[in-house]
Amino acid sequence: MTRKILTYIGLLLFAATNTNIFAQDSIFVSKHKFEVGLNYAIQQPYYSLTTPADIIEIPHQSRYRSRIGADIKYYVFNKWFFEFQTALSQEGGGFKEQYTNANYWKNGIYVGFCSNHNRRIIFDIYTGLDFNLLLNAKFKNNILDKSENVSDYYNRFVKSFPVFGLGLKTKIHDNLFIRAGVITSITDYKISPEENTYVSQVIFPAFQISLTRYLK
Amino acid sequence: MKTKIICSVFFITLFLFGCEKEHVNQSIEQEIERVAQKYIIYGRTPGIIIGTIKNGETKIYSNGVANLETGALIDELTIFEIGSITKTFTGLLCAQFALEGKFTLQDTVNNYFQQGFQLPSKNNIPIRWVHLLNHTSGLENQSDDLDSNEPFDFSESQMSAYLSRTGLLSVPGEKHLYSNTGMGLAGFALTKIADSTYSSLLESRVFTKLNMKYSFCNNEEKPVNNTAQGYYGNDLVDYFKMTEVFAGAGVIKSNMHDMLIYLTNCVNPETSVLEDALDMTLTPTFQIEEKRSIGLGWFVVSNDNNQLVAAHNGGTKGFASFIGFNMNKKTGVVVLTNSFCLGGEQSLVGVEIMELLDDEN
Repeated sequence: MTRKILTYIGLLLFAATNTNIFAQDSIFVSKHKFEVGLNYAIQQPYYSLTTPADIIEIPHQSRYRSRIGADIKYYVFNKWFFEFQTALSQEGGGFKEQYTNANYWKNGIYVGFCSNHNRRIIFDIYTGLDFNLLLNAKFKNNILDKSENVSDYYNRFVKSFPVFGLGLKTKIHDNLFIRAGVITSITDYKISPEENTYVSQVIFPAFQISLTRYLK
Repeated sequence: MKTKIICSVFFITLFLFGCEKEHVNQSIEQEIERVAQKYIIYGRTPGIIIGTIKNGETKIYSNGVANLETGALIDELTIFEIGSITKTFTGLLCAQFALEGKFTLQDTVNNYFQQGFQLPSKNNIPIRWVHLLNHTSGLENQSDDLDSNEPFDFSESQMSAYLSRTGLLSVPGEKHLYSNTGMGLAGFALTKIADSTYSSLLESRVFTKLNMKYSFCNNEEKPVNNTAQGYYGNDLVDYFKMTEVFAGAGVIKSNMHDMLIYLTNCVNPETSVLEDALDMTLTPTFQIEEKRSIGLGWFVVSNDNNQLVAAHNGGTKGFASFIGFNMNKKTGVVVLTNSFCLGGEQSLVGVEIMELLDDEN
């Protein structure tokens, strides 16, 4: 199964670097410096305490939450871009029956690289950091039907660094593209304002789908 | 224009990051409640219970659940595995035996085992009782042969075979190397001397005398309903099974009711029926570092105010625990959680609360 997936990804990348759609790539990009998009992601957030080894060693509850946002890319050169992404992101951690939902407004600044724009499938990869503003945090226990606002157990602002993303994009209509990508991020260990408490919000993975278009 | 907008958003975000949350002054009870609650909120453990003693008064703070599926709340009677805190009880039993003249801490332990069951030596220096109890025996923590799923499932004959083929990592008495094997063998040696079980020894010599009526060793012998479910992350964990050769290293199940009795006796040994034995366990027998020594099972640390703090933590695959007390200020704390803690967070909780107790005017 894993081999099949890898083969498929390999073929997509091969296609991305070998199938032309725009005859004059450099001219296209020089005319279209900005690309805007709307995106939606389904993501798996969880907390890591004290040590990053916790992420690998301890089995975490899989909880999928949503993230919706918009982004704008500025192509500095043909293949290099800066990106600003803003999103409402549902995060948190805990167990299936007892958990905390923490919702953030995320603002990400990234630098990235993409394959030639004259390919049928365009591959891109980026990294950077997110500035996260806490909107609210609620602790819940489904069995006890308990819900409690716990926002004061969270720092209002926290950074995610590093953020990694990669994706594949293809044209679906005149100047309309669809992109599928994966994101992962980890915050610094400062989610909690409490002394001697080191908590990080990990997101791994987030599956993102976007619709984009170039600004003319 | 677009670039200006992007830059503006960026700098506004940076500005907002400069803002810090204001901390509100809270009473010590509120602060301890908050310490208990934060570990539930961050998903570290399903449940936590904290017991404190100060000025002879005990208090209990609990948060979260004993069982995620049932939603059963944690109370002072909820049973937890206390794991390696058991080692302080093994030290206490050994102190009792020593005070009764059954052996001295400098006696060679092999004298109390039969010929077919002998501990190794190094440079012709044998392992003495004190070496087992302060982790300077040089024995490995535990054998690589042990199944990671049943890490303490060694029969007497398996332990005997292991001891006959293993060497010591250091000369007895020279180096501190934490050893579950060593502490387990100390408890096992007591059972040979008394011709009893570790469970029976604890019951008759400690639990009954201190009126710790809910504590026990063996699930099969004394099943109870009010047990917390242990968790390893998201996975359910069965209660630890420990064979007799390892029992002294971590077999005890207890609750906050009983652990506060134990803490009260430790904090005020002069009022305890086990005064001399408790004093003996807390007397340093080996200097690990400049400000850190070890008694019989207990780690004894000199804090920033040059006060002596005795402590031990515990961890099994589904539980984490901590006990500590300031020997000068007579304050102390017990922390019990029903989750494995990779980073030893239970100790951080314990130390944080001890500081709160000691800082309070």
